[in-house]
Amino acid sequence: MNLLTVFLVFFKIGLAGFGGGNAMIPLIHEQLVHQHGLLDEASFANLVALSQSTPGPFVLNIATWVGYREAGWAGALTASLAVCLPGFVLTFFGAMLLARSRSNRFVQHTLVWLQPVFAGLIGATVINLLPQGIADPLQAALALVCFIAVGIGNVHPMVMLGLGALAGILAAWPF
Amino acid sequence: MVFLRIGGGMIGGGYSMLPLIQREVEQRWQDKLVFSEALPLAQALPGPVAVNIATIIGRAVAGFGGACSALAGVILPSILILGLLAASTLDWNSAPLIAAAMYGLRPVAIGLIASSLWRLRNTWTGGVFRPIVAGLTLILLASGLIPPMVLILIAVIAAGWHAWRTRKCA
Repeated sequence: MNLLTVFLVFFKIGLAGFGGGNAMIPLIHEQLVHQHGLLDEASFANLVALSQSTPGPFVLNIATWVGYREAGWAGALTASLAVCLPGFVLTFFGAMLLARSRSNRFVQHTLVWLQPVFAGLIGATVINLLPQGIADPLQAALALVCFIAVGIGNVHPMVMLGLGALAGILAAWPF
Repeated sequence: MVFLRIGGGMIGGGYSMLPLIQREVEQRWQDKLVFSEALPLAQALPGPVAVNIATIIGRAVAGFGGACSALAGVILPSILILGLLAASTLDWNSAPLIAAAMYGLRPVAIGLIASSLWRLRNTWTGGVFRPIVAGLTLILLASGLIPPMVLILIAVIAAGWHAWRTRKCA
């Protein structure tokens, strides 16, 4: 895949991706797995897990990884910039308008509609990833514990990611 | 500079680092912008929320140059770390240790995503309208009837239209 295609794919994801990282996953999945066949389902689930457990914004991590795989360091840079560009430009000019309180209220009203859509997108993400991520009782338990600890108990995600990796390694020990 | 630190410290998706950004903003640039006013805008526009919020803060602090350096600060850690990882790992299953760690990380990632859903629960106050929209979104997406891009487009148009009407009345 050439640089221009890498740019276009991630620009499209950046432009249509509302609601931040988790809500953008269905879109990324559709573009990378179905439209362009860059990843299979298993690699995609691995990439999502890897991007969650490494520093930096989640979507950027995915973009860098795929960009690098397709076209080296230039591809990594292109994909990351392309996915940020629409948000950067729109937010920059949006921030100018925000100075007026009327447009601020406009934004609030828009979010009333968009937030449940974000929730639906995130829910669909969970359903899509389930077959790849949860294959046995141990993995189901890990997901459940993580959901309760982070969602309700306010445990830092990093703690759960560390525990998950450790549990996976211990379960497979000795190799 | 500050965003380099935030970008580097940001693990587990955007929402987990928003309190971090908020603290930095309130300590350093309280006179320049109000965080709680910037957040809705960052969420209502497309793109990663971390990138959008960085743009708003960078611009408020130091204009276009500030926005650009905030963007660079957020992007850099991702490029370096994931680029190096992509360059080094040939295959998910090449090393048994990595494969075992991924086995444990995959369900945790799902748990994390599900927990962000739980945090959106304040969305559900105020009638049945919002749960219906969320449920409809979920069913349409999970069944594969509508591509996500089309669905998002419809939602944005509907949201914009509704916001426009409400604004006129207000």
